[in-house]
Amino acid sequence: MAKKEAVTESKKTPEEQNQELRSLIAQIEALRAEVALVNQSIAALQSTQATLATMKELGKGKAMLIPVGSIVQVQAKVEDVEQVVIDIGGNLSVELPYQEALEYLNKQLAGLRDQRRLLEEAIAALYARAEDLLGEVRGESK
Amino acid sequence: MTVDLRDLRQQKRLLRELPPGRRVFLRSSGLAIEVGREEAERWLDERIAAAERALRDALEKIRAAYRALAEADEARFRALAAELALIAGFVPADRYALEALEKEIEAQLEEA
Repeated sequence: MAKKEAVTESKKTPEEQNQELRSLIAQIEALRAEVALVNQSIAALQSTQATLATMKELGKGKAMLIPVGSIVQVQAKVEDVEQVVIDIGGNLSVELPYQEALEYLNKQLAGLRDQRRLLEEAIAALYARAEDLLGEVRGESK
Repeated sequence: MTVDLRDLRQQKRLLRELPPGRRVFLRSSGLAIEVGREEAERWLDERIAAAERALRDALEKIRAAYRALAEADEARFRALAAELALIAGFVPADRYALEALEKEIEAQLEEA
């Protein structure tokens, strides 16, 4: 008898099922927004890698334009591509040799790709839960 | 998460693993100021301590939000959810979101 009561208690009311479904949808949307941010970061890092490689190829003394504000650029010459200053977060930047800077960027990219994979797995799991819940709701409404 | 202890700890690891002689800069208002490594570590330690305090405070708020939900005190729940959004980066709209946030915060604190 006690067991039967426990089963009855754990069963969700239609209102609770709706609430959980809404929550699952909101979580999926939040995770999707996070995936979009991760994709932006990946694109930015790839672009940085390409720029660094081009600068290295062009070598010391090459003239370039540096943006000053949003619509102004000034000409400058590349002094040194062997030392690169990298933002490590927390308002800190560190100076790294070119090769180490590339390795750091590669590590960051690998981390972001892992993060994207985890987010996509989480989205898939939430979808599966939402599908189950929808099945329960439809089953009960028949 | 707006407050992320994992990121801060990772930054500190990176700083500690830097070979001697590498320059470190602290960025402020668009300027990069060269600082000593010890100074940079102190700066990170302060941020880590502040993040830990903020996360522990958030756990208290999550528990208060559970109570507000149980008492059907919607105004109190909404006020707490708005405060939690500053740390979470999203507004926890219901019990499920609170549970997910609580789990994440506990995991970050346990990894210390």
